[in-house]
Amino acid sequence: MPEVQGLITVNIWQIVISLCNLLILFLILKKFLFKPVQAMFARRKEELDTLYRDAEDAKTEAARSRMLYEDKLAAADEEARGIVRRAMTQAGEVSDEILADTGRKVEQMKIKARRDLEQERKQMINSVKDEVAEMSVDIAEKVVGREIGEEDHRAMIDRCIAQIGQTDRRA
Amino acid sequence: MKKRKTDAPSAAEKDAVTPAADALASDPAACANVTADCAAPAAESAAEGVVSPTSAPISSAPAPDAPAPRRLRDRFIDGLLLVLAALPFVACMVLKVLTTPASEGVEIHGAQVYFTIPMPIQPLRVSEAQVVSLAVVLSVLFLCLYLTRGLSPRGHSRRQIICETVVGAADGLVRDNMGERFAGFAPFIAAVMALSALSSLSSLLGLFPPTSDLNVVGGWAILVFILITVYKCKGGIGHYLKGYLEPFFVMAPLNVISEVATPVSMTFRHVGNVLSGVAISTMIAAALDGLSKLVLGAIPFLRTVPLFRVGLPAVLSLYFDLFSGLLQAFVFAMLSMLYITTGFPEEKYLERQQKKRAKAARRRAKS
Repeated sequence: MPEVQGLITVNIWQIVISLCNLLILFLILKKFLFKPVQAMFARRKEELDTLYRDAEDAKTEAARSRMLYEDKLAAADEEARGIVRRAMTQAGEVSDEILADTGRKVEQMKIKARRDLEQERKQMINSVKDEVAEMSVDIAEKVVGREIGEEDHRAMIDRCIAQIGQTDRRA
Repeated sequence: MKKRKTDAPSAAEKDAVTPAADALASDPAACANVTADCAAPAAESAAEGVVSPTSAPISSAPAPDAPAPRRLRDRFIDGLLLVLAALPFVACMVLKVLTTPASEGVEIHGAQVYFTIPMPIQPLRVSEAQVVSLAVVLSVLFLCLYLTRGLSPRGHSRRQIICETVVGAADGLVRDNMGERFAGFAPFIAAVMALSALSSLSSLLGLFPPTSDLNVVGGWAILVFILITVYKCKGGIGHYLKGYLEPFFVMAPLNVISEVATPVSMTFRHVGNVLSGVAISTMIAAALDGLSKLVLGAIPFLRTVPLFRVGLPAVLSLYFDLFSGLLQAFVFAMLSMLYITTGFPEEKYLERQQKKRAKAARRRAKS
């Protein structure tokens, strides 16, 4: 028959053992449960922090590069507009020049044409004059060849002039 | 085979935890001939060192052989730790069954004494309460080792979730009730709760609950009392001793009594609750036994079977063992937190710290 303890007894050593048990369990939980789990929590926090930091960095970097791009884009736009403007003014200048040049050339051509006409006219008048002289000589021969009256003279001269007019018109 | 199938998900879960297993899963050679739905059994067979027909052509590949022993070892250690966590209780039960004498009638008594060691003041009687307490400590130790294996910041295995929940709950409780200054008390409060709850719950296994032994709970209460006193003395021993003379010196004896009453009341509250549960359960069981004999005594075969004991004791056990045990664990822990926090003279402590710092600064300035 094994010994059985009374329902309520006090045993100092049992109390001490129980106290030690609680202490030991406290140490066990601290060392084997709380420490590893809290270390894991710390590591997780660290990891999350680095993740957040990286994300933040990436975000600011992206914003920065976007601003950079936008600036660049705006600059490129401005430049393109400048180029177009410059090209347009240049083209205007060139066209103005060409127009002016053309005008000048036309003017010159006109002057030349007028001069040519004048010259031709002069030449023609000269040739007409020559012919008139020739004809005068002919007429003179004819006048010399026969007797002519006053009426004949007049008629001749009229004919002559008519001839001159005809030749003049013909020339 | 059915058992194996139920193991498959947990094996897949471990895949996520161990990098070596990851390498096995992502190894192209291992996956070459294996389709998605038979991947798990193949991995399992690789872990067990058995070559299944589907993986026969690739068994010559050297890669799957390397991680297999490690996984096997991992699983073996897991199993071993679980067995070791359960073993103390099994041992206690075996011990109890082997040593408990057959008895007739109702008898409510304390724990059975296994042996006695002669000690200076009083002989130490190693009783069932002591043995079960030790079993709880060992069991918790192995459970902790099992739960904290393979913790990782990104892991979300079942074990890790349990770990995080337990630690987070204990930490939150202590921070809420005691404040940031006492955050380091979380493991202690968790220990109080675990020891008390598991000790009470051991009665569900038919063991003697150590919490119904005055000495066991008394030990815890004395430890808590020591902590209370230590924290009261943080404001200076003079300040602590002066506290006994308040409001005037005649009250000193009463103050001493009220101080001593703290651990005593904590002990008796806890022990009384559990012990009364045991007593009532035993008496009701005996009463039902008697009733059964009285009513069914005339029937030849049923005479020896206490039929009326079926049912009611189980329901009562739900209250006395489960609810009361857990509640008392919680109450004990809450009271510990409360007494330690309220006993701590914060203002006086801060004042003293400031004085100390000033003194140290002055000394430094002098030298």
